[in-house]
Amino acid sequence: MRMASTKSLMDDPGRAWAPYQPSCDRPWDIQAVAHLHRRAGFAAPWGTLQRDLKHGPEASVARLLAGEPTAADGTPAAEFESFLNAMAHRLGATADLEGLQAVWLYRMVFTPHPLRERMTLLWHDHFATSMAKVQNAGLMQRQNALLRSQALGDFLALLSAIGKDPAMLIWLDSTVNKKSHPNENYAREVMELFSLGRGHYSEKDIQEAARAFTGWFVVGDAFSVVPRQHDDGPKTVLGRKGNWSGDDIPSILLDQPACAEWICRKLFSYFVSEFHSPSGALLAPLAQAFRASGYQIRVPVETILRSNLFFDPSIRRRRVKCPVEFTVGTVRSLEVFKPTVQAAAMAKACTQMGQGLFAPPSVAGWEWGRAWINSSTMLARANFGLALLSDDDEALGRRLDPAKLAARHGFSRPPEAVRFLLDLLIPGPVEPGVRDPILKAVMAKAADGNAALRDAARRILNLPEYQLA
Amino acid sequence: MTSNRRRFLKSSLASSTLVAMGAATVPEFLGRSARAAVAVDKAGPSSRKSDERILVVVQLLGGNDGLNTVVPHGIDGYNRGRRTLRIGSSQVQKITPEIGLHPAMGGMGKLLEKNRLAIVQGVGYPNPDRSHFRSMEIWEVGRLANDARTLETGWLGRAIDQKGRRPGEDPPAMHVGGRSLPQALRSRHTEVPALESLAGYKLQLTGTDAERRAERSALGEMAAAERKRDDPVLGFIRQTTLSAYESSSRLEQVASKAGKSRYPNFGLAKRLEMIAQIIKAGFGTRIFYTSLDGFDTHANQLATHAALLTELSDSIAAFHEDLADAGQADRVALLTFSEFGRRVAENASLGTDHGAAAPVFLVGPVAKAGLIGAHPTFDDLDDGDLKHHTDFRRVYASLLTDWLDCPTEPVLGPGFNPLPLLRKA
Repeated sequence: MRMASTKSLMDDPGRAWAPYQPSCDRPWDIQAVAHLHRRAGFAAPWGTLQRDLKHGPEASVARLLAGEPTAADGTPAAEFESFLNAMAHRLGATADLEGLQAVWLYRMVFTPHPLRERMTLLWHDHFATSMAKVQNAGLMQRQNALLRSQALGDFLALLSAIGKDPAMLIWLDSTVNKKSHPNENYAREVMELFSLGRGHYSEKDIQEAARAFTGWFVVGDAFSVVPRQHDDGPKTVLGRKGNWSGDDIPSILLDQPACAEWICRKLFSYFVSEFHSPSGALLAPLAQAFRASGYQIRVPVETILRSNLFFDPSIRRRRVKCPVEFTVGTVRSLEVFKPTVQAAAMAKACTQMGQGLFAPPSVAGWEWGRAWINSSTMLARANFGLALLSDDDEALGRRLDPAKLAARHGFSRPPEAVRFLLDLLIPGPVEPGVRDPILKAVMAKAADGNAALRDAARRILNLPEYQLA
Repeated sequence: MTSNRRRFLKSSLASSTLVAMGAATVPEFLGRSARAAVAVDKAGPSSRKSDERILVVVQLLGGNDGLNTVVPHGIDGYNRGRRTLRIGSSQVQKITPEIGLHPAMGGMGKLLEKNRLAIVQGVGYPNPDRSHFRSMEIWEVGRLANDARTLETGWLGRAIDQKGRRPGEDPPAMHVGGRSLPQALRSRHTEVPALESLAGYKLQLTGTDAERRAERSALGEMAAAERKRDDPVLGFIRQTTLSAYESSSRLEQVASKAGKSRYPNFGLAKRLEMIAQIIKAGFGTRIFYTSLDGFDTHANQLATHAALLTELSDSIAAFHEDLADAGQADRVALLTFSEFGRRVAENASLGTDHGAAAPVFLVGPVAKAGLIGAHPTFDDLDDGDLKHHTDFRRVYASLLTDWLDCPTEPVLGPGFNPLPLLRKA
C-alpha cells in the first residue's frame, strides 16, 4: 500500500512538487523534521529538531535556505566563516590532504549553513577533482571556495568559473591548450559529466568546443589566456555557429534542455531517492523552473525541499548515507561539540569508509548508493561508532555520554532515553523486533544507567537502519 | 531475488534458534548465516568463495638491478660491465652453469628447489622509458598510451572492473602498506581499500574476551533481528553488516591461533604476514598489492642491494611456508616486478643507472620452475641497456587468463598471448 502511494505521487508530477501541507499521510512530526535535516543538512541536534517542530515546515525550510545566524558552537555566522577560511588558507600550496579534509569536516560539523555545505559536497562530487594529481592544497581550497560561493547560486557562473579553475584544469591535464593541438579533455567532461550527460552531444561537438577553449592555459598555478594560441575561426557547437571562445561555451550548453534535466536528476537522487529512477515527466517541472530562473540552483532545490514528495514517508530510507553524512551527522546529532572529535581522525575514518574528501576516485566522482556498502566499509562505519563511545580512543572517544545527553533533553529514565536516541537517529518507524531487544537490554542493566545507555547507543549506531537516510 | 531474500531472512536470520543458542555461539551462527545467504541467494551481493585463486603483487620500487639479482655470472658481457659490482660464480646459487641467484636469496633458492619459483627473463616493453615515474606508470597501467583516459585506471583496476561489481562482498583487491594507492589498482568503479594494519578489519570492541564476544553477538542480533517490512535496500545492508562482522571474527580467530610469528623482522615480511592472515581467514579478496622501496641504487650498491634482496627473499619464503602449512599455497601466486632493470655498465659511484629489461619472479604453483626464456644478449644493447624479448603484458596475460579468470583483451588490449607460467586449475 505504501509503495502504491509513492507510485501515484511519482506518477503525478503536479502533486509531487506541489507545496507540502502537513496531513495525516504526511504529518509534520519529529520524524519529518529529522528527515528534513538529514537530507538537507548533516542531521541536527535535538534542540534544533524541537525548535523546527514548533515553527513548522515553511519556516524550517526557509531557515535551511538562508542559514542560521550562528554556528553550532555559538560563533556568529560571519565570524565562523572567516575563521574557517583563514584555517584553510594556512594550508597554502602544500600537499596536506588530511589538513584540507579536516578543515572541511570541521566546517560541516559546526556550519551555520548546513544546506550550503551539503550543496558544496554535491558540487565537489559533480566537478570531482582530486588532490592525487593537483597536489596543492591552496588550489583545492580555492576550488572548494568557488563551489561554496555558488552552492545555491548561479549555475552558469559556476560552470563558467570551473572551466578556468586551475585545480580542475591540472586534474584534467588541460593546462596547455594550443591552437595546433586542441585539448579535448575538458571539452568532453564539460559535456559528458558537468552539463549534458551522454547521448546529448556528438564527438564533433567536443572537437569544436575544444577549439573554442584553445588559448586557455594554467601558468604558475594561475589561469591564463594566451590570445595567439586561440583558434578564432568559426565553430559549430550543438548546432550553433560562431567564432566561439571558451567563454561562450557554458551558455551554449545551458541552452540545451538536457542540461537542466541532467542537474535536476542529480538533485533528485541527492535529496529524494537513490533507489527510484525518476521519469522525464517527473523531472520536467523542476527542470523547467530551473531554466526559467536562468539556472538559479536555489530554485529546484527549494521546490524539492518544500514538496509533497520530499515529505512523503515513502522516500525515507531511500538513500544510503555517504561516509561524510554518516560521520558528520553522528557528531552533530549527538552534540559532540565541546570538546569535539579530532577532525583529522574523522577524515581518516571517512577515507576508510570509501570517501576521501578532495580525493574522489575519478572525474566522475563517487558511485554513491549501494557502492558505499561492503564488508570493509561497514567495519569502518561500525568502528567509528565504537570509537565515539569508547573510553580509549583519544581522537574520537571520551567525549560522549548518551545518558547525560538524554537527561539534558529531559529523558532521564532509561526507556525514555532509548526512545529519544531512536527518534533522534533512526529514520523510522523502528520495528518492535529492533527496538524491544535494545529496551530489554537497557532494563536488564538498569543499575548502571550510563553504561546501559552507552550499550544502547552503540547498538543504535550500528543498526543497518542507521546507514540509511 | 526479493523473494529469495525474504525466504533467507525468514529461514535463517530470524529463526528462533538465534535466541536459543545463547551468546557464546552466535559468532559461529553468523558465520553460517552468511554462508546460508550465499546458498539461498546466489545472485545476491555477498557470495563469498574462499577457495578462489589469489594474486599477490610485490612491486620493487626504484628499478631493481636484475643483473645482480638473477646473475649471468658465466656470460662475458656481464663480467665486462660489472668490474667492481660483479658477483662471481663461486658466490651465486647456481640455476644453470651460466646463471645463478644472488647469494642473499637463499630463501628463493629453496623455493626453486621445491619447484615453486619461475623466473621470466628479459621482460620489458618497446621504447623503454628511463623515468621512474613514466616507467612505473607503464607497468602499472599495463598500456603504453598516455592519454588522460588511459591513465585513469591500472591493469588490476580494469581486471576488477571486468569482474563486475557485487556490492556487499569483500573488497576485490587490497593495497597493503602506507604508500598512496598504486596506479595499478585504480579502477573505474571500485575504491580499492588500503590496509596499514589489521585493526581496520576488526571490530574495535573493548573489554574482556567474554565482553567482546557478548557485544559482538548483540550487534549481530541487531542486524539479524526480524523486520516485518520487506525492504531490499535494508536487507542488503543487513546482509553486508553480518558478513562484515563475520569477516572480523574470522580474522580475529586466525590472529589468535597464529601463535608466535615465524616471519623475519622486515617490513615486507610484516605486510605479507598480514596478507597471509587475511587469506587464511577466508576473505573473498583476490588481489593483494604491496611494495618494497629502495632499489634505486645509483651509488655504493652492493651492500644496499644485498640487504634488499635478503628482505625480499626471506619475506617471500616465510610467506610461502606459512601458506603451505595452512594448505593454501596452491591458490596463491606472487609476482614481483620493478619499473626497469639497470644499465649493464656500472657507473663511477659503485652503483648502476636506470636501465631497461629485467627478470620477474613468480612464486606459487608454477607450470615449470626455473628460468623461462633466455637471458637477454649482451651483444645487442639498446643504448647500453638489455633489450627485452618478452613483453610484460604477456606475463600479465597469463595471470589474468590462467589465474584470475579474467579476459585479457579488455584489460591489456589485443595481441598479448599468455605464457604458460602457472598450473591451470
